[in-house]
Amino acid sequence: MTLTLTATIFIEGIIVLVYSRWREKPLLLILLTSLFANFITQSLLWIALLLFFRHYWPVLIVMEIFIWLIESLIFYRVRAEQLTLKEAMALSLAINLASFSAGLFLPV
Amino acid sequence: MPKFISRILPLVLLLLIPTTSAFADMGPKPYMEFEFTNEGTESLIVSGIMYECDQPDCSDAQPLEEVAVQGFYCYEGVSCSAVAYGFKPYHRIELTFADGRTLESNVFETVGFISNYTVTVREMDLLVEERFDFADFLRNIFNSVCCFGAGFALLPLGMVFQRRKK
Repeated sequence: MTLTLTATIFIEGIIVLVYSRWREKPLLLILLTSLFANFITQSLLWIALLLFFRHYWPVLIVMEIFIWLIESLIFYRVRAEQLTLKEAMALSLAINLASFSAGLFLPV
Repeated sequence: MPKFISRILPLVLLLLIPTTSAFADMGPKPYMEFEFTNEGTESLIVSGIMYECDQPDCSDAQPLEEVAVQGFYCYEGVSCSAVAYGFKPYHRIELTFADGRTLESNVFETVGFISNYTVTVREMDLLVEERFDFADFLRNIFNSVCCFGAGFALLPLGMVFQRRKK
């Protein structure tokens, strides 16, 4: 689980870094929010997979959609980040797609 | 200070990259670990195939395909593991040993997201026994709950930054 979380935080951190620089948003705050969201959502993902291990793909897909929505909401709710709901959803989609895709091909 | 942190943060993130590769989780993916004990003469494992089945008698056995990181792997001739994008409910393994023997196992079930098995190498076959480690299961749940708590521990820090921004 530590490896998963570390790799996820690293990949999502890079996306946040690029996004913050590109859209001139507060990098540190968005990174911190992303870290907070990851701790919460990765825990939920692990618990769901541990409990429903016989249904890997359905559980993974449902949880990833849930994680995307939860993280969008967290990004949006932290007002100081100056993200609109659309921006928050786009950023969350980008970081989650990146970490999900990388996760499929990384042997960790 | 925040500017300084924002400059060193990418470096810190770089240092967080896991340096050892472990066939474990990011995805995360279901995983199986096989430990071996020998009843007779000990011989190193040369190669192995894992069969996946939907039927309890494994009459519909298909080898576990090697796709990206998915596959059945044996290390240094003494241990094996399998990682997959979802396992079927029943399995069977076939191992070839350095002394030329090819032995088949009994049919065994997936016992968890991370499944542990003990394989007894006998003269004529392999006996795979599930090893459900309840302590391991509890540890994973505990880690998840702790991780959840750690997320909330970050909240006050976030609030400080948010106030500063305002």
